[in-house]
Amino acid sequence: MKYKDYYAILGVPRSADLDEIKKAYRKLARTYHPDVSKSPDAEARFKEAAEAYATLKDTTKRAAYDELGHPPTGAEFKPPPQWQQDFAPGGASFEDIDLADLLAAMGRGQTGGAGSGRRHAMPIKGRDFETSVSLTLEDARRGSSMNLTLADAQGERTLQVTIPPGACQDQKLRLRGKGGKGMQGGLDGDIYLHINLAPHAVFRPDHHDLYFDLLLAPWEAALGAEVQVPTLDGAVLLSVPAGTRAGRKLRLRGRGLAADKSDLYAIVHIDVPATLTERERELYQELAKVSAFNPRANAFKEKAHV
Amino acid sequence: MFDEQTEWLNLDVRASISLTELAECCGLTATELDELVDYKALTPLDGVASERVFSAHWVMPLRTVAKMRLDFDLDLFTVAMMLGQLDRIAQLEQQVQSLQALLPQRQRAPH
Repeated sequence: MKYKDYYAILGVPRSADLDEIKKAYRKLARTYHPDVSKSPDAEARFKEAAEAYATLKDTTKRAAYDELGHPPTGAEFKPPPQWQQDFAPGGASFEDIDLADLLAAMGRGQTGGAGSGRRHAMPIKGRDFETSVSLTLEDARRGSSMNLTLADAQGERTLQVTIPPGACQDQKLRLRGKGGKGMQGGLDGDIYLHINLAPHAVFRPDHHDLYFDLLLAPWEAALGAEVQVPTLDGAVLLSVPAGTRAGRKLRLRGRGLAADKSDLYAIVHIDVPATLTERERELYQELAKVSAFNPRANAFKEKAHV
Repeated sequence: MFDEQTEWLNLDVRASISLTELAECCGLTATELDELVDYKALTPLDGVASERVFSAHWVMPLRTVAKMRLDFDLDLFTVAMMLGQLDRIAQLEQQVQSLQALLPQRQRAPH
């Protein structure tokens, strides 16, 4: 068995009290936590610190660890005879056992070595898997099938899963009992799936509803029109009522991500030609003369009250 | 090797989960979950069931805070505070998404 200097890993003296140990660990955990640090060795450093802290924060484990003395890091060492009695009463060897596993087993009241006797076989739940998948909006509406590859100490396996129709952004799903196998009567682990929706060139999701921009010519908005609009199932005709103003949301019922339970909204934007033909200019000038419409009339009134 | 799928469970407000199962999902004990309820960080659903029942939307934030508790050796009160903040962040993210959906395509912030 190889010795690891847990005090050196945490950077504390061997006489450090629990508060010093905790502070040193938290500092390292904050620095090297894989969610925080981009350093390539962050995960290994974090695990190393967590392993050291798991032993040194526990009075019993720390006392057992201190019994080992202070051999150089990485040196082969022989555990005290009492450890043989406590952890391997059947006479199993410690040679292939990691120090961390042995000390962790001490907390669970069982041995860390394969083939050695067990004192109290506690049920151990199988590993949970958390993964995320990216779906197109079309697949989210229709539902889709995919393969999830799950790898752990027990090997690699592929699980074919069907994502039900009507998924939405940040939806979380749980597949019970399909994670790692439980041990000693423990439950099998679960799979947790996080759904991400890939950005779409036209549609923007909000929960199960979808939004898109509908550009209208001024005369379409004023007079009303039948316009062809896209949906996830193909183009459809939308009736634009006469007098439709910019910003109005026109609903296409049941065309959202969850069929029949969510909607697609066209947000109206009124566009004008960047350049006008001579005839168009005449018509607009004519309209400007005859129309009494003032789009800013109400806005000025509202401002006057502020 | 291919394995067969069983039923997906939605982890949102449409589904509920018992105290025992919630404890199994997030790696906290039932007593610890009760303490989070006492701190008002976690709210059970109303009902007359013999066991407390919760909205399934708590599963993922509880798994997150339970992992952070282990990783940073946090006490349960800190976990309660974090759970509240995570819930607030999730609500705000949802509001941002809803507002972004209303913004014209050309005005949206890049992902």
